[in-house]
Amino acid sequence: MPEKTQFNVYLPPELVRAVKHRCIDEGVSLSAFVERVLSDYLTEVEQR
Amino acid sequence: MTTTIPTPILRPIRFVTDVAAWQAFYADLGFISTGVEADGWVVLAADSGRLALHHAEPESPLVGKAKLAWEVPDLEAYRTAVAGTGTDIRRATFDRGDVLVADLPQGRVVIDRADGAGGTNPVRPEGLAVLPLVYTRSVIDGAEAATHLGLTRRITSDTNGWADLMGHGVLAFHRADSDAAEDRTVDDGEISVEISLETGDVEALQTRVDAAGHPVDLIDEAYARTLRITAPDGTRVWVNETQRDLYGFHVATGAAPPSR
Repeated sequence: MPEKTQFNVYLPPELVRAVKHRCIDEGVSLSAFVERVLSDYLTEVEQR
Repeated sequence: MTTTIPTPILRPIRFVTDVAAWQAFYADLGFISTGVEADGWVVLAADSGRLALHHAEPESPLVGKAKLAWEVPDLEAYRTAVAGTGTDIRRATFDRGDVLVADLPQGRVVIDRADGAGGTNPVRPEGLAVLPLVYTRSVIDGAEAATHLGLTRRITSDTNGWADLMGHGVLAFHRADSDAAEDRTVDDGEISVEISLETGDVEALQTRVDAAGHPVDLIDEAYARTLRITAPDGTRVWVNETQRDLYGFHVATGAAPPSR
């Protein structure tokens, strides 16, 4: 597994809650979910 | 007549090369001595639940592993109550004395007579609870079988990937992600566990552990926050925050929802 580093950010509590609930719905870890969403966004932006 | 099964004191056993170092580590997390200490064998108590440290030589295949076990104050009273429900439970004699042996779908559990003091509070958010975690493909079957041995269902995920039960301490079953992690056993068929912990106040514990000089991270998971504390062998001990947001989970009928 590639090296991972902790990434602390401040977000609105309701967004944190919604993200965590989405992770539970999808059965993925919070880290895996955030990694996928951020990677997908960066890829999308670079392909514009 | 229904006989209530005495509540087990969960007491997983961790095999380590340096018992003194691990004893000091757990003391820094808030564990206290039960008074049970012999050559290469120490039993420590959390607020709810206990854990044992068992010396292993560096070349032993047991080093770094842990197995599920629990204690009850009166072996015969426990055996009678469990057997009264039709559940198979057997007497056995080991080098250390008389024990009971019972089965879960994942393997066998050895039950010892409880000596010493401590670890017998109910699971409560203001305390620290021992949480042996079983990785398995049989989450619900394991949890159901454990209810016949005196443990009480608490939280289950709606996908049946997680189920936990309360005794003194928490026993949890977590769906294994791979075949390699399926129903592992150690030491002649006893159930392999990861020894985690649970508390309602992870920030206070983080402060305490940090002050004692142990590297510790507070990390969000989808279900709750967790602490990852670096242990004497370089591995990380997980501490789950008592789960309060039960989205995607449900509480067993009759069980009180966790609260601060």
